[in-house]
Amino acid sequence: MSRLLALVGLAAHELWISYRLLLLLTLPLLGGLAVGAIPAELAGLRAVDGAARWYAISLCASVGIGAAVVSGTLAAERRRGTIAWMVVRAVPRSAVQLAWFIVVGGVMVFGIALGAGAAWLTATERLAEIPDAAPLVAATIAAAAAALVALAAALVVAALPLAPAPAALLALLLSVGMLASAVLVPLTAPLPNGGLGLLADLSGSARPIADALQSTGTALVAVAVLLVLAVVTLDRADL
Amino acid sequence: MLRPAAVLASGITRSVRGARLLDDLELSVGVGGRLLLVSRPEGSASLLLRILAGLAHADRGNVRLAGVSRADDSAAGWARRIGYVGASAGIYAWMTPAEVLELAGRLAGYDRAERHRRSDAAVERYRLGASRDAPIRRGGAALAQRTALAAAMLTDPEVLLLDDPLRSVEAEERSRLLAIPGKRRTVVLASAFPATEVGLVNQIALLREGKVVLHAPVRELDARGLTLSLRGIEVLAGIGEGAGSAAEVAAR
Repeated sequence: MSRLLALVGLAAHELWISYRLLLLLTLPLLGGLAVGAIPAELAGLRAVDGAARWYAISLCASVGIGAAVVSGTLAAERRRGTIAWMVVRAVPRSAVQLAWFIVVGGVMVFGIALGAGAAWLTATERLAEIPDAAPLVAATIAAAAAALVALAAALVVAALPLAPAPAALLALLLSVGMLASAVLVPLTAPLPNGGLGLLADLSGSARPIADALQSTGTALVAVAVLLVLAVVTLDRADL
Repeated sequence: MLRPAAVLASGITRSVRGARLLDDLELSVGVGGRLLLVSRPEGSASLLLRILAGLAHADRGNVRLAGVSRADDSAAGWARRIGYVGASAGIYAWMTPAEVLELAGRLAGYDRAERHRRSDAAVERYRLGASRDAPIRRGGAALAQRTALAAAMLTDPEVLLLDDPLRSVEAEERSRLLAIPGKRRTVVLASAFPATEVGLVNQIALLREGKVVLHAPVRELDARGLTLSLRGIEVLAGIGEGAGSAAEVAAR
């Protein structure tokens, strides 16, 4: 545990000192704040639904950029020998990946929560009567779980023998493709990326909270599978 | 006197992009040995060192260093008993040497007092005092490499693996730093420039076509009037123009 804490601190410091931590935190927040700038006629008939849809669209971009940052950073760490420096000290490779997942995942989820709060505040500012927040909260939790899926996929990409730029590009394409497909195509089954779809079409779901819980569950299972894949891939790689 | 093996590699085989760089390689270095590892092709020795350190995987074969296997990831096992320094330092440029040593101590599982004691000793030995609390980027590659060596030596490892280290450090200072103390410490040094390692090793090994074709004391070079150079080592191994394959040389 002491080692993991040291690695978490190191990853956080590395992201902080290069302003990438700030980027990961502020992108979803800016997405939420930007919802207020969207004209009412574009925001949709119902203010909260419209705000949630635009917030979901902005999340596709911000989570995609976050996944690219993580993948590119870890590929650079491999190339620079930083991961090797830890591995020769008997630190399991999986611990390094887990530390990065904890730091980036934590920041990303916090940023998504802040962004959703900002979107809610800007949307309800126009309303005389405040609607029930529970569906939006549930959909945001499911969307955050979908973001963790994108992050875990980025760790898999980072474990491949790729240079930082191709690794970042591949992670960006994968995550944006996965998240945008949920926004663009109405989903019926509780898929790992379903949270984004639910956020984009809040009024289209008869049972938004139940659907959000199901999507969150499948997303967390997908995260676990992808993390195992990332660990196995990095374990087989040369550092 | 026969000494127990501190470095034991058996049946190591590894191909990279279809080329077999290590082929059923056997290597044993006794406790206290100082081995210079050179190879043709050049990258084989470095690859072997990275396999020994657990950074690269072998297609086949087993490795034991200081009696422990790579699977022993306890702080008191591999982390303290094995040290490795590569050609690149592999440490964050924003860290200070003091932070690097502190981190190395934490990863090795030492308590605070022990970390401070060992850090202070390393700072003194590796002359890091002036730049101890400044980011490594200010001192450039030389400071990064000195710090990497200091961090590797922090745990007083029984086996030290050096992969063409400290190339950015001035030659005289490099020789001083690589004169690793400890009679029972085993050092394996892979080098692309054997002539720069004079006085640092007491054994030489030549890898050719993936096999160890020569493993001999340095004094055999002296006895034949040969210099510590790739050419000298190859002559000692009986390899000259059209000398044949590694298997033929090994059979002689």
